[in-house]
Amino acid sequence: MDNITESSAKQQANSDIDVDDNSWHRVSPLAILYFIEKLFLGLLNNVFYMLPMFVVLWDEIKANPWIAAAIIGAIIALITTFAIWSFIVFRYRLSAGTVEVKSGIFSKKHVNLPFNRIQNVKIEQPFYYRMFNYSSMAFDSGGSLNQEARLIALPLAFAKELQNEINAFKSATPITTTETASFDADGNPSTTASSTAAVETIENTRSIGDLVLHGITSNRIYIILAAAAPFVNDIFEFFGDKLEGFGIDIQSHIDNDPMWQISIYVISLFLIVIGLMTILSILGAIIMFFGYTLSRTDDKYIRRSGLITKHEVSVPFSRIQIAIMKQDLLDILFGRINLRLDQLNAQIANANASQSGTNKLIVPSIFAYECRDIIAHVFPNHGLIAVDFKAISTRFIIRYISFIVVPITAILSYSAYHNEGLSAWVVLVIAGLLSTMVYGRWLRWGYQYNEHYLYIRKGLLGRDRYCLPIAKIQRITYSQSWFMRKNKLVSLKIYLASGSYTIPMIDEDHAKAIYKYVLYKVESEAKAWM
Amino acid sequence: MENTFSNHILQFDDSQIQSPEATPLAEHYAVVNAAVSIVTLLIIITVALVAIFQPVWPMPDEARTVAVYITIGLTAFFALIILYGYFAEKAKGYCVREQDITLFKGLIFRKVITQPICRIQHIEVKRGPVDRKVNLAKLHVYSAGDIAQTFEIPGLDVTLANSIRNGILAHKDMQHHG
Repeated sequence: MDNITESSAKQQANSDIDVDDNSWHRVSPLAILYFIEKLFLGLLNNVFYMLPMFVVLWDEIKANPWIAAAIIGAIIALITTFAIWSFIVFRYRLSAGTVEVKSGIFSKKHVNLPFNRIQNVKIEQPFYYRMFNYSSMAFDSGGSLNQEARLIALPLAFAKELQNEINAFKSATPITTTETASFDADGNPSTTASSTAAVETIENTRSIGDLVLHGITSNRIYIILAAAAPFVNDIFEFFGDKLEGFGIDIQSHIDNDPMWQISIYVISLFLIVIGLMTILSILGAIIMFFGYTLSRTDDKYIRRSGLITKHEVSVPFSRIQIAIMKQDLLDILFGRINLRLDQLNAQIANANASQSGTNKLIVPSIFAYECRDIIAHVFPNHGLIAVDFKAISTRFIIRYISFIVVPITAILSYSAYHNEGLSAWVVLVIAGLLSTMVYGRWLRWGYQYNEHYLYIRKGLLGRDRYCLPIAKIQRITYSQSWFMRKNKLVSLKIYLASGSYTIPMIDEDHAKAIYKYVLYKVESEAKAWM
Repeated sequence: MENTFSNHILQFDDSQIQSPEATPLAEHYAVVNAAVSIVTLLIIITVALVAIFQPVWPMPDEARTVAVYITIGLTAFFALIILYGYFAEKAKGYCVREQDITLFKGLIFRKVITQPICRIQHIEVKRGPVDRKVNLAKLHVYSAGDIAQTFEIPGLDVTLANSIRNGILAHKDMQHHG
């Protein structure tokens, strides 16, 4: 970022708005863009539910395209009107140590958020703000959704200044205060000053190569495929028709060509599909994590990334509840790890769609040593990389074989017996595969604990390793079924503010020891979990 | 009314998992709970039977037979659930120790859920219309990160529920984060 735009934005900020003048302000008209985006996305989400209506009315629409155009025009006009209206009613006020936001057309919302209750300040730069060097700020008050506040269309320099001020107000440590003061006194702030802190060190960056690897290893496209499953028939029919249009008749090929040729067709088709999916996944990874930097100050991590919309998430160390090292099969092959540091419960964040993902600090595709160092700042001496995991009981295998594999095999065998189409071999293969999966799952399960941490490992092809600080545990459940009681086994469920984690079917004595120790540690220390 | 409030000192060195000992819920709680379910079921059966045999829009005979069978089947099913519920509620118990509060529950899966008091966010005594009639209350305990599963001790005598709540609120670790 060059100094000229930065300082001009800053001057503009100072002329427009003063931080503590106790009167209500309007934001820049650029806010309209934000409201348009929000309304449009809201509409897009609902289009899904309106699809049946469109299907029914399709003939009508085809017959009268003008009406359809008029409707679309009306919708656009409506969106614009509401966006402008939302902008007009949007006000904010900064008074001593408080940010207040008034918004809403029909349901008016007035959020009053004292600085010291703000847990997290996030600066976002969607592409339409980045062009003008503006940004929006989201304040997270830690929990209650009604108290989420968002300031939109602020000059970037002003947003950063406000962020500093809030942090200074909260911590009131000498370092941050002097920093802010020097920043305020400086009429022409340098870029280092505006990017918050001299104490901020860059912990990790991700190159395009890393992101490509991340795209390859964590293929999220399967989710799209799963959503498309109901339409598979239609899709195949559609492409069949198209190919026929080009003079390719699949049916006749299948009937006439030798088997090896058909296999080659199938394999190449499969490879093409995999290739396309991988490319999409890589694109996704780049869009999400472009320019990834993870910086660290004394007490928090700051993640910045994004190709189209630049996200900035800062997470105080004290709010991190758990560290998770996630590895898919390919990650294990490449020796990479996706590190996740979770804060509050995902359900709270997911209730607010636009916020999803911001409660998790993700560092994509890093090496083990980087992972170790990043976690070490939050959880000292965690030793997650080198934990010697204890296996869970082999009864786990018996349980899942008898409750899942046997019934499925029985149903399949029954239908194979009565139905010529299903060969007994298929049943055997499926049963074998399921049993192998149960065994593999058992092999991955592991747990361990020491004075400060509880460790869990699980997965099937991939491998996830969890590091839970015992002092942050919220609640613990000790459970036994009748069979487990007979075999002296126990399942433990551990609740953190970030969610619940299970250790299934472990030795009763170990479980008791863990249960007792967790309660002792939590209750005797009564440390803050946030 | 007998005060069942227990407040043992936790002894970490020799404490066993059984050391929080289950105090059963109020004696009439499981009965009341089952009675409410039975009354609800009876009302639904009555409505169903009236709908089947009402003379205004008579059903064809075959449909009527099927409907009667379905009603009988569902009644039997829900009767079993109520029976199960009765024993499940009877099996519940709780224990309040100096540092934590424990709920015992489950017939098939026996669970011991322990909530350290220093992790409690807030605590509520709830009473529905039936609870008010029979002098019972539910104690809800909330901690962070458990939207899906709240910690609830039902079937407590109302004075007992209140005194547990007050005892927990007076705990020194609750004073810290108000």
